[in-house]
Amino acid sequence: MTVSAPAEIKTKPEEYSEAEFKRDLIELIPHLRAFARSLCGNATLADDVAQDAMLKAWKAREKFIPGTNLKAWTFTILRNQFYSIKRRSWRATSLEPEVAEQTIVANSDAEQSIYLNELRRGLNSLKDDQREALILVGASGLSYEEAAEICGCAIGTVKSRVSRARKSLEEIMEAGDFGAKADGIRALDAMDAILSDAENIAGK
Amino acid sequence: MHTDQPSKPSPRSDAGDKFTSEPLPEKIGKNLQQIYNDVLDEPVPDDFLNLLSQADEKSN
Repeated sequence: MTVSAPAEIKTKPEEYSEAEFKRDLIELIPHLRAFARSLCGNATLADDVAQDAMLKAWKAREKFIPGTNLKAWTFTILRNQFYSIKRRSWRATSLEPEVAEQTIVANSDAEQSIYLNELRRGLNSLKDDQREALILVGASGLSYEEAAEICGCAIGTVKSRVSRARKSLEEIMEAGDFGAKADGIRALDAMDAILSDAENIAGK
Repeated sequence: MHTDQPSKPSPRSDAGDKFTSEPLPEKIGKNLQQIYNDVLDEPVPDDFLNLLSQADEKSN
């Protein structure tokens, strides 16, 4: 199995067969999972979202324009999928705790693991639009332009969201009390509840 | 609804086109990539390929 998908899959405009599309889609699965995981914060749910996105991409394959960026195209589908599920509001439910024990996996360095988990919690506490911008540009290897296309906003908007996200994360990581306290998760849940209340109020 | 932080002008926000061109929170940036790459390195669950194969067969 190929783990390292190229950052950008080159496609020739002509002669891009269904089999090639499928091969490229398969190569992108790890990226779909990684992007979904960072949006959801919950591994099981993230894989559901990633699978749905993969199948949607497959079904819509004839709408893909060969030669354009397949990764950005599938990420757009995934993102839409994520928000349509989210609108049916699962995030405010108690899905956060899994984040804590999610991946202590390959890191033998305990301190590093703790830091990563703190960072995950920090990520989870960001606003959706900031988190996704930060992940797209700062981790998934996409450009500001591609991120803007995926999020359906201006490049400048992506830049300012990334900048705000970084600032928030810096503050959170400096405060450093995420993860150290046993009630860190509960505090996050409370924050989510407050945020979703605020959204409900704003949405009226 | 957007800023709940003191709005200091951020000189770095528009500088450079690369995430990594911003020096200060290097640790955060590096670890952010680590979080993402950790998932990339996980083996893909069989479900994915099975589902795709099923969808492929159905469409033929």
